[in-house]
Amino acid sequence: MQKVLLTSVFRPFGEENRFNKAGDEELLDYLASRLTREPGLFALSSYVPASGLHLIAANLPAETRVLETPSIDEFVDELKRGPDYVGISALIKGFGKVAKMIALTRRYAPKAKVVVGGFATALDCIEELGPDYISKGDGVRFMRNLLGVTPEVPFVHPRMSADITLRIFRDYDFLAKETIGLITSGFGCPHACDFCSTSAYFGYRAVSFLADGTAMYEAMKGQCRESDGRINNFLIFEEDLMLFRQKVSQMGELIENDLQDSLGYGCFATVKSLSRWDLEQLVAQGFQHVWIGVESMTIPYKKGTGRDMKELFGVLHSFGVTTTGSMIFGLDHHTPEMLPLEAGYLASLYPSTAQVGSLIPAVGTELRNRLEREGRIRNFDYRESDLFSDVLVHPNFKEGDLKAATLKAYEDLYEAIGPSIYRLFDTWFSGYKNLRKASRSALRRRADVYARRVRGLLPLFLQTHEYLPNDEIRRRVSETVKEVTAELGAPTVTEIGLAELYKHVFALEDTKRRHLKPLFLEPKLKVRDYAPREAPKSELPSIPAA
Amino acid sequence: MDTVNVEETVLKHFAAIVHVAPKKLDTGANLAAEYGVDSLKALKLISEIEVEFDIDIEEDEARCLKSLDDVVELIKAKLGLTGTAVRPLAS
Repeated sequence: MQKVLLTSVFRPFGEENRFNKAGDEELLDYLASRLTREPGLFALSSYVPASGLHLIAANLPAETRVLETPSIDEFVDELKRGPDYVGISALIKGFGKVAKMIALTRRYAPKAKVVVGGFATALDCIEELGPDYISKGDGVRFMRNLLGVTPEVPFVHPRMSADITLRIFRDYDFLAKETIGLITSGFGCPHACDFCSTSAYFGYRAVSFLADGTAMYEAMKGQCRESDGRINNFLIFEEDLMLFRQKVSQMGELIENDLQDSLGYGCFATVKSLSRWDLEQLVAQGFQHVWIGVESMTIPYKKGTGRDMKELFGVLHSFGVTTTGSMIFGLDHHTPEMLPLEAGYLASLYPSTAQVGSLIPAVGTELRNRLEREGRIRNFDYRESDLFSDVLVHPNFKEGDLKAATLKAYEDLYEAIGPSIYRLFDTWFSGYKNLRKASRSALRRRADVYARRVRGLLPLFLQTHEYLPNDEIRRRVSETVKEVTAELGAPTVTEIGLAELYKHVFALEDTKRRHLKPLFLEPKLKVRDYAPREAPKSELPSIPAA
Repeated sequence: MDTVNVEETVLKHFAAIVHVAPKKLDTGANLAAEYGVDSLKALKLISEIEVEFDIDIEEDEARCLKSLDDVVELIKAKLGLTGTAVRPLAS
């Protein structure tokens, strides 16, 4: 039986050296570094697993071990176990670490074949590092092919989840965390926006992972059952899920008819695709969060056509559907005067969470090719490759201006519409009020879900007013809290006790922030083993080495 | 590992990266000008010698490496084969 080792790049991340830039460790936290990158103490935190590695591992006819964030020594220990294949997944930022990991593999597991995957493979020069194979795009099918099984044997979905909590609560194990399940529907995107690295990486097409809505529902239901109902909220990875009408409808019907578990899901979608749906129907069938790429108020991308953006966000919120709105600074038409207006527009949409990033000319994209032709790429250092990079030369901005503007936009949003966690709370409460008397029972059940969430967050807002950004936000939070208690009942003794505890944690963390340097705890090694997945032998030709 | 082996090992790795026979390498030549060593080839060389000699090379040290002699000297210093502590290399 062949042995496969799949791994992320090695830690540490919080040490500035020839592999890391200062602040890289923040990027591991998907929420705190991007979607709730706000000042203050209310920012959310979530570390997302290396989904791609687990999706591959669960579907190979080999004993497969997945390592996440190993140290160099831990990686070497695994190499000494003699794997036949070593798969290294990296973002462009991890390019330097890939070079070292290949060298380590050659020394400690000289018989192993090295496969490099992930966005780092968008760099043509990855070949120069001397891997045996380069898996660009769909890694599951690539590895199946490499191991001699037909890539189209139906896929199984591994159980994956991520905890969400307040960033300042991360180190307090006794405080509740919300766990969401992670489901991959497919990869790639046919919208082909010129800046989109995902779209370019998968060849401007959608590649299916789970074949249909039944498979999606079963993946969710299985995880919910195994967690004794604790995990019933899922994030589905698919660049624009709402393009797949049959898949979503099939999954939605099963969710609506499941009276045992109130399954719900969040996803990525576009104005264009959402405009073709009856949103009430979607909500009744579990739709509860959506990430929409707003990009700019002038909407230069086709995916933004359809319903009016502001009207769409408003309708979604009225149904209790929380939103992520993302925006790009540094588009060709942008001037320094326009960026605060863009941030103001984003605030007017009242997204529950938001992302503001610089325009990144990611390797492999049409945008990158165009800007290279125009001589508009600054000297490239792979370590600079992240959402806030300043590698674009823009006639209206000096180096550093765009990065500063993006970070300022997060502050402006916080001042204008308050912390993300409050916007979630407020939106769920709106959904509760609008759906609790709906004629359709599935919508009333959704209202019950919102009521439970609102109730769960209520203690957070009872004694933390002094940490809110300004008086206007304090007034809004007070009003919402007052309305919630009028609708759902006064706080219980337990909730009052929790509020008291939160007050002390906020005070302690506020003091630490003002007097201590930030302490970063490196992620620990995570190891997960997967048994071989039986599959028929393939007659497909082998893939030539790189 | 002795001094001779350090040099032989470095030449072996470098030769494979630039596709030149070890015996034809000029250890005093400028790596960029003579052998077209760019940041990528440098990254590969540094990664390989770090693993081979079980040492860590910092970014500042890497930036100072202009010739194979520099590389060998740095490794010897880190391995304590020069009889002195690690010394800064001339840029």
